[in-house]
Amino acid sequence: MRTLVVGSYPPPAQRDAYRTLETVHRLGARGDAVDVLSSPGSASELEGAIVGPRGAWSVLRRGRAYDAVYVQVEPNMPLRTVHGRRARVARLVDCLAWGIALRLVRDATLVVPDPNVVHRALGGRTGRFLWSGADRVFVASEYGRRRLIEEGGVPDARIELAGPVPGVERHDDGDWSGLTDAAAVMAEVHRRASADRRAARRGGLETGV
Amino acid sequence: MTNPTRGRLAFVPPRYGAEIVGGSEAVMREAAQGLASRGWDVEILTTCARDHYTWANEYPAGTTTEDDVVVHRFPVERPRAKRSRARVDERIVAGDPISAKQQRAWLDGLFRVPELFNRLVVTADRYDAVILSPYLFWTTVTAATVAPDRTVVMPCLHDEPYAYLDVLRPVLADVARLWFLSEPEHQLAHRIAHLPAHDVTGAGVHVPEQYRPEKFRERHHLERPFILFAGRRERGKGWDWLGNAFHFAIQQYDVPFDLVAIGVGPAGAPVDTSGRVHVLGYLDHDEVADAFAAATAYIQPSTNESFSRTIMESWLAGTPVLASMGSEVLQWHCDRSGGGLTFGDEFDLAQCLSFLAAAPANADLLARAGREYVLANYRWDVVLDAMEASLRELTCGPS
Repeated sequence: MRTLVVGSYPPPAQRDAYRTLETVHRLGARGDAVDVLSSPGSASELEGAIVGPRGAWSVLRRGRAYDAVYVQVEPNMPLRTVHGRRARVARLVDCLAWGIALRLVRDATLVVPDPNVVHRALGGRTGRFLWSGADRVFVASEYGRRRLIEEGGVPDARIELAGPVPGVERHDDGDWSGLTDAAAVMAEVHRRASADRRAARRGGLETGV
Repeated sequence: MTNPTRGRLAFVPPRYGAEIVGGSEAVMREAAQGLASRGWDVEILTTCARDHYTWANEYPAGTTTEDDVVVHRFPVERPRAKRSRARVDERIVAGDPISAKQQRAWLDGLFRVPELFNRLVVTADRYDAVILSPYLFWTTVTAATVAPDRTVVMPCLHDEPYAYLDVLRPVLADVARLWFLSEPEHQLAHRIAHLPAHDVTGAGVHVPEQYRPEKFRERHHLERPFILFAGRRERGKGWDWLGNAFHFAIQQYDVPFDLVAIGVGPAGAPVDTSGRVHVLGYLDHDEVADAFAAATAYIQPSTNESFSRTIMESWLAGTPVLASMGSEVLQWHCDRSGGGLTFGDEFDLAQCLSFLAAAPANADLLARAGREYVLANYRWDVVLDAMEASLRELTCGPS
């Protein structure tokens, strides 16, 4: 299956880019032929606008050639972060544009690792138009699922809770029993957490945070 | 019985009452009661509001006496331009430049209490000191202009965009004295304004006579070990982040804990249905102490803290603390006490929880160190001594 993933992509190697990598890793693991559309300057195969109405048009234009389209939801994508007088208009335009684009491509999925990053609010009529445009919404936690149902108006049946990608074990070596002061425990916590972060970047853990 | 030689004090908190959830409000109330018990003649000038989400007038206006303290309540005037204030608030949080006029409108737009201000203007000469807190409310900003040479501000400052607004700077710079709750808060204030005389008084916590963890578990049907969150369930207090991070720890690390939340939250907030998060709402003080004692650990995910009474209450109850390293104050307490673990992200938190599950005896050692730290530094008698010394210096000059 030919799949288009839309989102931030390295470089730079930041959290949102890793989340897109996780999605690509997950889809690749199930056998999809994945292309990534990201902003100019990234390592993606396809470059173009991915934010706001221009991003919606870009996804609509390219996405119709694919069997499935996955759109990562990030702090500034697909909805723009606009403050002041134009914020409401921008929100309205973005939600309408993306809601239409998602309806016109085949098998659209929104990947929402963290519902809190959505600028302004999840809900409202415009928000509901956006979320309901997707055939499927991936969330990383029960908390995200609940918010999308209650605020975003997404039917429960369309929401999927993403589980961990198999293949990389979390870091859990040795025991803690010899550590009796806070400094020693903290050093061990950081050592193990660092290993886990590296595993997550390789696609081993779904953070959802 | 009041001792007239000690002096007369006016405390001006935006909300006042035993059931008010909020750190600065609790410190103001307990400091007022503590100073009253030491012979100061204490009066409270406050609003009729109970809920800081609505600022609705819930208490009757007028004068009452509560625990040896005279309380004058004044009605809140409801905001006139909620939407425009919300827009300015968004811009402040985003770091956009805001004009002085807009800052003033933002301050007025949450609530105003003109009757309280007029009363203070008329009666200010009766007080040896006027004590205000926290720094970012209309009551504090306006009351600080009435008798600045006798005004003490306990700002409860944290490093947030509001702290840098010009409209709030006089609260730090143009009063007689400041009381800080922690050294990081003190250092932050130096970075923001040129400060008048000031003291790091800390805040006190009451030592409960007894803890009944089993009773708490039974009453709330808590069968699994749990991590406790106490306070306001707001995004700014880290609640939303915690919800995600906790589910991450459950899903990926299989930690054996539930999450129990006590305190208040905004109406309409989503409710978790995983069965692992229990929101118990507001509890009375005795039960709060029992909740701390019953928990495996207390978690403080907020980065907006000027003191954090709740971590003190946790340590007092013999319960270790997990705290956000994004807060200099929390990191400072944990470093000084050796009683807490700090986390920077969900991976750190998950490993901290793994430690608690795997080595409970070691976690008890941390909690013991934390309790000693609180008893040495933050009993109310220690804190009231510092406040009284500061007040004496204000009213009588340096000794």
